[in-house]
Amino acid sequence: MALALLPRRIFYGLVSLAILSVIIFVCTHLLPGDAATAILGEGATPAALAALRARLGLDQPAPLQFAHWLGGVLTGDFGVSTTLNQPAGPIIAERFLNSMALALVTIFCAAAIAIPLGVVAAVRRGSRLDGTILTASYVGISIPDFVLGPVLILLFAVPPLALFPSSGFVAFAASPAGWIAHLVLPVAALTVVLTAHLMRQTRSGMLDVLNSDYVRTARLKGLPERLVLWRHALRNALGTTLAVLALDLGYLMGSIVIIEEIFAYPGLGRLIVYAVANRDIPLVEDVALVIGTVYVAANLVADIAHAMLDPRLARP
Amino acid sequence: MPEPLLEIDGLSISFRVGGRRMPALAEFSLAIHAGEVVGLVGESGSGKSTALFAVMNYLPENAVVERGSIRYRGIDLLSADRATLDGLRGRRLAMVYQDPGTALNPAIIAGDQIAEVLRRHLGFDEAGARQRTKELLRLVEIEDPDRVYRSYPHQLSGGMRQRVMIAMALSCEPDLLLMDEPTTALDVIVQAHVLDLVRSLQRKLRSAILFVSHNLGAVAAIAHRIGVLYAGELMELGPAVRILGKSRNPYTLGLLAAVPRIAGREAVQGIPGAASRDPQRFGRCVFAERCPSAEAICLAERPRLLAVPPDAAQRSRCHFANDPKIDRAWSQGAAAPTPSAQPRSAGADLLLEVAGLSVEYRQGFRLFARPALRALRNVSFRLPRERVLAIVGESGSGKSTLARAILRLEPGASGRVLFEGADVFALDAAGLRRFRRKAQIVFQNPTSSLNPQRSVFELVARPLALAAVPRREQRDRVRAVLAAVGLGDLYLDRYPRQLSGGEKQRVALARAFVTEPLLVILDEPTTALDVSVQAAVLELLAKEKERLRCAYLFISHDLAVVRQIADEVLVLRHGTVQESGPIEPLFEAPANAYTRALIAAVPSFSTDRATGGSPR
Amino acid sequence: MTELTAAAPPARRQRNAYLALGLALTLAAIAAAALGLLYTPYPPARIDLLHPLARPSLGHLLGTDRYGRDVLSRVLAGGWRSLTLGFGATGLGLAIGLPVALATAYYRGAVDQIVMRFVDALLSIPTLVFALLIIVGLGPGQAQAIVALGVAAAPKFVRIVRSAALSAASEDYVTAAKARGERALYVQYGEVLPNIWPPVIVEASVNIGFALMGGAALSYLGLGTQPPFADWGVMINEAQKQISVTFWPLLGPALAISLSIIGFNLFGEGLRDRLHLRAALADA
Repeated sequence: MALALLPRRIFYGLVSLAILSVIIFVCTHLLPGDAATAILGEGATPAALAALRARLGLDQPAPLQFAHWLGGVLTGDFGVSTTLNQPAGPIIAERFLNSMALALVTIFCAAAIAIPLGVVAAVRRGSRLDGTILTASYVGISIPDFVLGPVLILLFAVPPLALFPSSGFVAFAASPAGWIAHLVLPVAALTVVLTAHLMRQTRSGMLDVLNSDYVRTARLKGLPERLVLWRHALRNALGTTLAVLALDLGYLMGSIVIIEEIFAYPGLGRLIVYAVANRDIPLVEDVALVIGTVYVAANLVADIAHAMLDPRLARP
Repeated sequence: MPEPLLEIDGLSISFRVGGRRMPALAEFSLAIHAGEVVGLVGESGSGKSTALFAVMNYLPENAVVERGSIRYRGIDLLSADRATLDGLRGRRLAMVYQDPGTALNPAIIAGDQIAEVLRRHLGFDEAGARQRTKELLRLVEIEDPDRVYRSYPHQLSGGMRQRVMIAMALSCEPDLLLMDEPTTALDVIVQAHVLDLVRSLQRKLRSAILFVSHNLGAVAAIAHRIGVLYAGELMELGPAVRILGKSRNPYTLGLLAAVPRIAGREAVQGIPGAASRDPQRFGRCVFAERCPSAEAICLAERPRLLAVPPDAAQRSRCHFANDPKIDRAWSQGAAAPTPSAQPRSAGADLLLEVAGLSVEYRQGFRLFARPALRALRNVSFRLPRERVLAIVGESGSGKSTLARAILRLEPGASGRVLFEGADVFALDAAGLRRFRRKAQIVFQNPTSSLNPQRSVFELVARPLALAAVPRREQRDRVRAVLAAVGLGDLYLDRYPRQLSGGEKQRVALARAFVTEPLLVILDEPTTALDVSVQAAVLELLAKEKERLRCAYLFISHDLAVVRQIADEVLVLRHGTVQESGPIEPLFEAPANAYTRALIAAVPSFSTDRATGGSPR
Repeated sequence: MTELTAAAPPARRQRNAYLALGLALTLAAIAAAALGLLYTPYPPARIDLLHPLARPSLGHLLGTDRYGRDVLSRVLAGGWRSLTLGFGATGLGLAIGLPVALATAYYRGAVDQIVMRFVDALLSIPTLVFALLIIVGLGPGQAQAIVALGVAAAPKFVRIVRSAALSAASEDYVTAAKARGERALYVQYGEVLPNIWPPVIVEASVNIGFALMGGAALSYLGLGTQPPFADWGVMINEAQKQISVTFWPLLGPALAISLSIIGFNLFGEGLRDRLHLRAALADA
């Protein structure tokens, strides 16, 4: 069964995360000791700097700092944000949920649009429709998020339309309608980018299947094209599309950084930008690791789904 | 004469390639009657598969039907709409493909893929279709139909998959079965079983078969009538016995002379040159520039399919079809027979000794390491100087691993390889360099073995450059060795993409011979080549061995080829030696059961006693 | 005519149009950036507080920003900053990725396993987030952004070049080279590399587009090019702040970056299709 592969997949995922944590730590400590100066400013007295370094543990050797950070994360202690003077854990947890809402709604919308369009484009390969879809996806991939966001604001958030708020966030518990209203534009922006990407992947995956020998066999059995598509082609194309979808979650996390900033949406992306701009090292490290974990987990889910759909993986 | 089942009439097909039209098939006509088995034989680029898929009206998108028609019981297949075709495909016209590994849907269990056809065409319900499918699986001699029914294609062996394909094709008892190289992707023994099965099923079900193959032996084993295609032209058509025994076409005769026979060491004779791809070739005889009896008219006029006496059953596309001179055409240029095998002489000077050679592949990484895969177990043999030892085996036997291990290219190798008495695995850097100059290798796929970015000169001169041969001398030696393999100076600046398969393999051989090695390992050197070209390369190999006085380690799955060149044979299966010894006794009276099966499986046919449809 | 079936060459006219359009946009972007180095209608930093947020006119073809600076001049002047970032980061990414990929494909085994574990780990965070991490280490700025985006692009290059190199390395001409005793570096750079240039060039071209986007994104976030200098990302950020008043200052930089990225992407993708087709033809 596919589950036989599971321990290995999980192990490799954990290895990835372990390596990632080292990389994160090394990157953020390229300029040693600067964090204290960044917090207190250039004019701080040496004594104050030393005191802060001691409080943040910056005076300890790097491996020890690393062990302290990772050990904390593994036991649920995400450390203290140096600029907010609050435990990082709760902040991250809240922002994480907000970002996930954004990401999952986006993925759902993008999949609902992109998969049918990608399949249709592949089936009608070479037609005008295919050309239009392909061109649209080229353009969609190329338009930067930070152009798309302002354009959407211009169209829908400022007069004359002003249909949706241009920025901010309302908790779901406070006002479900407000929550949705604030989600519309960021989701729309992210969906454009993701749809463009996913559409092309679906199209090329479906084309591979349609050009396969077994689809030829199905046609030369005398099956009508409808059955060839539904019974023989889609089933095989879906497996790879699913894998792509999970990979796209990672792709999406990159766009989220910009989109959240544009729409002032309080998620992980905005948090990491804040932390980077203010050199809040613990916060940067924690958020980067969380983003990496999301990606690894999504990949794991995709692997399992793929294995369950593809009998070659499920029953070797 | 009754109305034919299928009538292909004047079919011309070309392919649009980069804005040009490349003709692939010229005015091809063929009629197939009910219950008849017609074999189409041809080398690569002959148009045989194009003709086959045209019958199904399933040609690549860039194919253009220029002229002609294909009629099945009066229905014009080329202009039929999809609904009409859907009614015929799988029901009246069914197909078996070259590679059963990719032709079956990997996501659907084998049985359902057959049942689907029954339900579509014969109106079976689910349970009935399942029942009937299992009967069909039994019909194709599958012993446990229940298990096979439930299996996904990847869980079945190649031979099993092809049986499933055949069961699927026969499920609606079609009038015509189209088989596209159905045995080519299979190992020799499985090939023989599948051919036997098809023959016996054909007797039982009386379907007509159009059987397409490059393998003359396979076609001879099954066909009542044979058509010979060359470069898109039907060269000869007639009853199998007459095509094999009394051909009246120089190309067919050349092809027959080029096929190595397992029965004994006869001179195989290659056809010089390569098939013409000239788009204008159909204005003349397409074979003219390779034909030994060509005259001016052959280059000026396209020959018609002339009836060969006593009746019109056999027809040959040759201006001289009824001129006795073509019988002598190939005997004039016949090479001297390959020297007969040399028995092992006791005191022969030893070149290579392999003792207890094993190769293991470690799989996976430490924590999840799977048990090591043993590709080769305890192989030992000795190769004296100037001899040819053939390593014979099916796919997965470890024969290519053996080649790589001897050249110290397999990190997982253990055991001993002694070359001129020195342990290859223990050589220091200088010793290794000397060894690499004296031991060369030639691979199966000439396209893959030549770096496409390098000219012929660069390719052949590189081993000399490594051996620090001065630049001026390199040029002379490259010229000399190219001449020896039959390539002139104009090849020096060509690139691999400008060469035919046969020419590429000659370049690869030149590269191996240029350092005047003592040992050349030939890893399936003729497998990727057409029969006529293979014969020419075999002639060349025999000649060069005499000139350079080197030894060959000849790796092959093809026993008939081995018979033509080897002094001794070693049979390998699943990485272990089954049997070894001098070739004559081993082929005449094999001691090992596997060797016996292997030899018996080679489709053999004789030009004298062919009985058409049931030789052997 | 026969029914259409097997491997269809994609519509050729469309593909060539993509390639041509991509090339035209790419060249236009480079030309504009070069022009911006030599000539701008106004000094790009000249403030004119009497004419802020002017609509496009003959005097200011793309209008002015909130300090009255000429948008066209700033777009031209910012061009080479953005393009330097795209080319610089891609060059750095290749310089790191190519040798690593060739070596892993050649040695395989444990070396390959370990490198690929690292690559997998690095690919599990988005390029932009990885670049942010490096910015934390190096501090904000244009040069730092090039390094950050270059290093962040390297794992992707390793993965793509490695898979091309692996398939080239499985060809018999590589085995033949080893069998005749060629040195490791000759095999990597003499036998394998010449045969994998096409995918490398395609990937580099597409990556220039992505790096352009990434660089502008960093600037947009205030972490790339620092004031008083401006590139397209900085300009978009500034223009967005007055979006409820006027969108004209947004138009210039937004069009410039979008068209440049579309150019590099179309060029890369068009090239990819064309190379694919050539490979398919060579097989036929």
